[in-house]
Amino acid sequence: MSALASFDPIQTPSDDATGNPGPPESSSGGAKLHLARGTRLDIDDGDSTMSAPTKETRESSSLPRKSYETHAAVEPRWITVSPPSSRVVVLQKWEGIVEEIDEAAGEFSVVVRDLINPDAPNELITMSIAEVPPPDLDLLVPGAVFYWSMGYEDFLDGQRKRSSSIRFRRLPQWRGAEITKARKEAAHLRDELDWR
Amino acid sequence: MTSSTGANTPPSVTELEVSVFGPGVGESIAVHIGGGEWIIVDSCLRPDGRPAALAYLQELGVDVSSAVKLVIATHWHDDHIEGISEAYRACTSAEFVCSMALRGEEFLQLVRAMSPRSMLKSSGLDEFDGVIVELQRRKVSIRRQARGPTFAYADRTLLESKVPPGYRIVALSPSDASVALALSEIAESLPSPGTTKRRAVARRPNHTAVVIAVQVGELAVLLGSDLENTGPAGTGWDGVLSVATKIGRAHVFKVAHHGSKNGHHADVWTTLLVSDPHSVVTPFLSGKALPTTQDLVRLKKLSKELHITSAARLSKPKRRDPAVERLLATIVRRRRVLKRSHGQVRLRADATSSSPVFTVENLGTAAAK
Repeated sequence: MSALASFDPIQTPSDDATGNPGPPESSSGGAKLHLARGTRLDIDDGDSTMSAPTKETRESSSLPRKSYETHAAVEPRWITVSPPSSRVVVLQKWEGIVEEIDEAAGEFSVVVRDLINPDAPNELITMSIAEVPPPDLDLLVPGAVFYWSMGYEDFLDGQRKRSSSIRFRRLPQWRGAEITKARKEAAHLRDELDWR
Repeated sequence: MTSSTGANTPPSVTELEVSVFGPGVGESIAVHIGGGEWIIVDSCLRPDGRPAALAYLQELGVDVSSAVKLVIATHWHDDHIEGISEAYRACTSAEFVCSMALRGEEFLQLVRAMSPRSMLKSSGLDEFDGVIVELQRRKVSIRRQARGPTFAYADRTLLESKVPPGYRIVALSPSDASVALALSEIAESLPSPGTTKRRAVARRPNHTAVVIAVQVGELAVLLGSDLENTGPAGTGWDGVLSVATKIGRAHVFKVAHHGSKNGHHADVWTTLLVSDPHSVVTPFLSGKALPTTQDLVRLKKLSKELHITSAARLSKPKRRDPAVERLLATIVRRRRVLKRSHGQVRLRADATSSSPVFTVENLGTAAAK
């Protein structure tokens, strides 16, 4: 089991299509842990990705560890722990800034900077809005920054697919204190520089 | 007329020079107003990363600390302002001029909120931030210069001299109506608590742009900035044309807004320019590239002496890994390289002559159209 395996949503045995109380076969190759109520589940806390620790990782990891008491119902519950279904080999990465959005044409223009070959000149690229992942559509505005990578995705079954991934940078929200500070600085500059 | 002087030979004291720089994305202009004095209008970078007009003047041997009288930012679009803070720092006796539309405290709030520490890349506002720092430095170190920028608006004389050949530099925009619209838009651009941070982007159409008329001796120049026909009465080119500025018809026109159809107003050619003037276009090879072929055809009918600062069309992108190229082919609709070139159109003529003969030199990637 991989240390980077992720947890699938909790399933009860009755949710299992096989109706089998034992660990069902997983089409994704993942294993399931049987956790009775009150079982303690150790989880490494050194990574934002929740991981199911293996014997090896528990012994070798020096990262802090927390214990969590499960809150299983009376019925035993099943947690599916899946290994990564694929591995991505990155061939090209860009950082892009949205220049213009043409909603009528369903496309947007971006200036991209090559992060693999920094000496390469920037390029202006126009692509369909459909290339933007739906959760990122709200972030598609002029001036938005995104990261774009291309490469191969190797699957456990030996398949290889070309892959393109666009992810928009998520900037924090403006805090009231930042805006108040800017307002005070502006008032000071107005008086200091006679900017009026 | 082709080059007859060395590229680094300065103009004579009575010569008007207009040098327009345009590397493909960006625009800057240096004007010799006689007597060894210059003004810089807008800024863009050369391929070596230096502000084009500043670097050119230094290569001519001009002492920019005393010879440059004005550094003018016609608006804060990235392609007109890159490097302007460096140019202003070097031109230590120059006044900084910007649009009246930026006078409000709201613009200062926008600059301070979007300053480099805010994690937001915004070169237009970053450049203004740099200018403000320099204005503060001068206020402390040069006590007599306890003043801020000069704000340009329609029919305001920015600089004048009666010393032969004599010059007068006048702003023809923004009009009162344009200023009101711009101030309102800037106020709307201010961030509010709880909204997601994003890079500030100047709005279109441009209500801020400062059009400049330069009269040197017998000659006149019209620098159209990015002014467009903006719609509401009294704004854009309509606003300029409604002001009866007493300045001669221009012999040289820096065509507005990269030659776009929206920057074109027929009455400009009949009322503000001499018949068949020398015209210079700076291309904008980003987004929807300007000028279009139709734009060039229109301009050529109005100006036989039409020049463009960067004639090099967009070069083909570098080929990458075949897998990347195949993916790009399935995803990308259009793709162009944004490689800076060094293009300069230089026009010179004796400002004391009422029948001027201009020497036009296309340097670097510049060309006649």
